[in-house]
Amino acid sequence: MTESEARAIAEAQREACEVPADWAIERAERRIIELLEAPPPDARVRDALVWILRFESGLGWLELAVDEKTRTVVRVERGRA
Amino acid sequence: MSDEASAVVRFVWAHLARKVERAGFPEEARALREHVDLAEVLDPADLPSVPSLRVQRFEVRRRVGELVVELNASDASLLSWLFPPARLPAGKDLGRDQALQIAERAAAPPAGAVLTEAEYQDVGGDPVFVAAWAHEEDGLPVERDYLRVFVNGRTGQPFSVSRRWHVVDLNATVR
Repeated sequence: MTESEARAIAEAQREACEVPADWAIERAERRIIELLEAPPPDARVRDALVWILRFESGLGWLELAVDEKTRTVVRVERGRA
Repeated sequence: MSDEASAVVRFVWAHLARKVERAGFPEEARALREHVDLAEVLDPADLPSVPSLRVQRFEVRRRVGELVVELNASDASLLSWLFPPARLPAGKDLGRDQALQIAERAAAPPAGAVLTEAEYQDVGGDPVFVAAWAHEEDGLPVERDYLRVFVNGRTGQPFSVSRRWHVVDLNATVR
């Protein structure tokens, strides 16, 4: 998956992920993260190659992780500026 | 420990407690095990030979603090250890390269470890040499994996190692 493909997926998921309309993607980074595939007691975990797309404004930031395997947003993290 | 060995150890503890009490420290005598530890010296070189007696030698070791160790309950791998008494006396006597060598011996960074910190920092008001590594796999950062070591820059003793590290596996597994 290219960066532009990841950006397109993130942009398409703006509303579903509650990204404010005026926030822009300020950073994109490819990373390996752990994802919980099955809840406890199995608690199976896999490593995933993802693109982290970081939206920012003066108020805070929001990061979407787009999984290269499933081409979906698998994690949303928020923080204040 | 056999009954006989236990009896010997109990006798030595009681003997020590009596000595401390007679020296004028009754409270310390009662709490002796909080301050010292007893260890038999195995195969001592100069033990006197006494006919019809078995002679044993013990060492009294002063407790200097607690070593706190965290292990992963699923596979017993080391997560962290901390020995606070070794933090002092603090100082910056060691150069960066020397302190980093000590930190590397303590952390044993595996393949994929990328050095991110190697400098003296203020920790609780004292200078401490801090070395840290991040985890990269094929040039990609592995989120949340790290190694961190604190080294006493005066004594050259590492006193804290913490790690979160895993082998990257794209298949789902129980971890």
